[in-house]
Amino acid sequence: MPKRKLSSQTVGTERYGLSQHSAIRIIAVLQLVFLGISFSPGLTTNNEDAHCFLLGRAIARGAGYADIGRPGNPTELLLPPAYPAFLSIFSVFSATPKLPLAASAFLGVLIPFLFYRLLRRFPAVPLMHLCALVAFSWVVGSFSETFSNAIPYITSVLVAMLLYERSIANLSSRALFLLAIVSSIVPLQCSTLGLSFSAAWIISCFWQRRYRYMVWHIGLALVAVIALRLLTTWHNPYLAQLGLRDLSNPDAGYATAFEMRMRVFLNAINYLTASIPHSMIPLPFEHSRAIAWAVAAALLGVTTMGWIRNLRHGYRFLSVYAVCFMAITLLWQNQTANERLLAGIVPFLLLFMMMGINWVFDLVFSNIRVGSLESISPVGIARFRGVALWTIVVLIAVLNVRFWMVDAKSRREIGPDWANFYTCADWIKTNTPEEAVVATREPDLFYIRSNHHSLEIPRFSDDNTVLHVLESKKTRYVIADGITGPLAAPSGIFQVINSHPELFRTVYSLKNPDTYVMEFKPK
Amino acid sequence: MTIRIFKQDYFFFSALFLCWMGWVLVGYKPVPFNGQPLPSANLERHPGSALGQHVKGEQDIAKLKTSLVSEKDSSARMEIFNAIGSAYFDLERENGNRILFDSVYKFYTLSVLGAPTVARYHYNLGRFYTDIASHEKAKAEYEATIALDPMHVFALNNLGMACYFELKQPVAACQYLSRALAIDSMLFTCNLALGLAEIDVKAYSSAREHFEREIALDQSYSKRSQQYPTSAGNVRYAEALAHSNLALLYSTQFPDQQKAQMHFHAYLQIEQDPQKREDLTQQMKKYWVMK
Repeated sequence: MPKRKLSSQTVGTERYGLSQHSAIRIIAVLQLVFLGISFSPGLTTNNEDAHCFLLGRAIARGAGYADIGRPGNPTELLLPPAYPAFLSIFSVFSATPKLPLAASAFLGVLIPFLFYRLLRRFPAVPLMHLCALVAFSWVVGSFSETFSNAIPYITSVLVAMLLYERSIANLSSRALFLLAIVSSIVPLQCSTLGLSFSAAWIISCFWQRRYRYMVWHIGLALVAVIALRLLTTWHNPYLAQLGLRDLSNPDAGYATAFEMRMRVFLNAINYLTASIPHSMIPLPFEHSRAIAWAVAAALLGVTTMGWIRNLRHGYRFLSVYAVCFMAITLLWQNQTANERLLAGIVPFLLLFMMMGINWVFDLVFSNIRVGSLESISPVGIARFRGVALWTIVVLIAVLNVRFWMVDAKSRREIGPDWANFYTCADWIKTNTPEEAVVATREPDLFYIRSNHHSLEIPRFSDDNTVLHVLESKKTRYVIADGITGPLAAPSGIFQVINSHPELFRTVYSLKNPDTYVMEFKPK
Repeated sequence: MTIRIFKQDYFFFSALFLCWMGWVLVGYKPVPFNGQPLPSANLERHPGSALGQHVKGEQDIAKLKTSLVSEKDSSARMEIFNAIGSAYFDLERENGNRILFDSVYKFYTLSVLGAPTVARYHYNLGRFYTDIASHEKAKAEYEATIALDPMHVFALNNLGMACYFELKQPVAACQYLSRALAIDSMLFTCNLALGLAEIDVKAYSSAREHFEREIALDQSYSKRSQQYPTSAGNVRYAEALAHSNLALLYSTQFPDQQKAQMHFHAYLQIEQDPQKREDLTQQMKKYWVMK
């Protein structure tokens, strides 16, 4: 008897009287409920979040694209302006982070819907399973609730792809073409990782011989970059920073070719064994290395299979984009290689994972000879397959939601080190003149709390260079904090103070952990 | 036509966005990043100039006094006076040596006289007066603190407490404690004191609300990091008192047998003193048939 293949299309939500369109709306509402449960209307202890919020506030107040927390309000050089511009719309109505954060969080709800609109014409994609997984992914959930530019970045990528597809389907529409081209440069203006999207766009257009889209994209991207540089400055430290050997110590110089190779190698090991598996399936038993490795290996296997299947039968652009994204993130310094950097690719990796699992199911179920087991009908096998696939999805979603809630809880709490840090900001606010400049580890958070211009404690190995920078910025106070944690790099200020005690005087201090406000009096 | 619009995605997601923003606006209190209070001054230490080496007690005071000799800047001198006062205050609290009060008073007063516009100096002097039960003087210092820094939540809190518990001025207590809670809703025992003061001024409805908030706050005590120092004993005391007052409120002003019993039993679970348990039981018997 010939084998009968069971397609994934025999399993769908329509069978249960629920259209995919209705299902995606239910998923959006559920995602919003979880967002509401875990939402916290304040800032996290991540200075980058505070930085985004302040840039949005600066635009809303008409101060331009400037870092209003730093002395002299310098022009922002590192972060592309699209996300702060989005935040500024809501910062007009609110002095606190609540409204901009809520608006930003809603972008996370749009991501599963955009996936649905983009991929519904590809039968190889198990669409509802994917949308459910993306909606309840802890990466999408947690980063939606912070001022991280990862979620707006993913949204802009999906919108650009969607408009590109619409434009290709309706080649005669000039308006759609222009919309697609304009939206294609937004990811680059949202995050520097948008370089990967531009690269994928160019490669895909070249591959599909859509040269018009390629040329217009390159032209408009160049115009946007040049316009931004004309409005701000030509000095761009970002790419130079990428080449630094150590971000926390610029004195260490630039990485050699060998060190860059080592960086890529170590990043690859870290991503493959830890960051990517954890971003997709956060296991509750992290202490068990054997289970973690087994899950990571299985996960990477099906994700790679899904990537291949997507390249053959799915939306090729996404496979190209994933490669470009990973190539860029591999170049980052090892110290910043974490889930935050990878957040922009995680929903796409979930897509590949689902396609991989679906492919495995196809292989398994297509080998079942219908009729060899007379009691099992083809419908029964299809139903079993559907249940099995949904079971896997629900299991992964539950693990993700669990970790999402744990992460949200930890974001709401601050430890005694941060309490002391904020208390020092309060002391500075009430006891020092407004024009006093403060050097601190987290300048944007400090500025928001104390309303005093702040600068980051210079990170140089040479004490005299640090002192020179402090003096040149007219720093009056230095915060020597006791902040600890996996991501907290030592500020190095203790070493400077201990080697030059005559230049510093304690004016306020707290215990547990030791945190000091030191007055800086250069000779 | 109308139904078709409702089926459109842009309508659905716009409506969802508006619902979400409404939920956030109504359901979440904004975090006042610029208005959080300073912690109680008993966390404050002034070690010597060498980092990481806490010089305590007399050594600390001696070092500070030595630094006075070389310090010419007036505001810095006042800061040192205040620091010496704080060091004496801490020493007195650690050792129970009441003789040191003169020194605390002397240095705190010097700092206030030398820099009368620094809110913190007035607050510290107010704390000292509270410690020696000179509540009228403490009130004057706290009022001076608030005049200089209207957001000084601890001055508002202490002033409200002094007005209610010591000076028997419930109206003023309500005003100050409400202001303190408006700045920081996470202050332990503040809701309780405000509720008690509101019972005195017969504002029963808001008293009930504040007791309920106190209980909710106290129940979260062990579940999160504490930004302000408070002891578990204080929290349990406040929670018990809030439950007993709610039990009485639900017996008299807002008769509700179920809630009255719930709070009464919650009180009995927390309160260990048999006399107090018996007192409330007797009071409850006036209103309900006890099983």
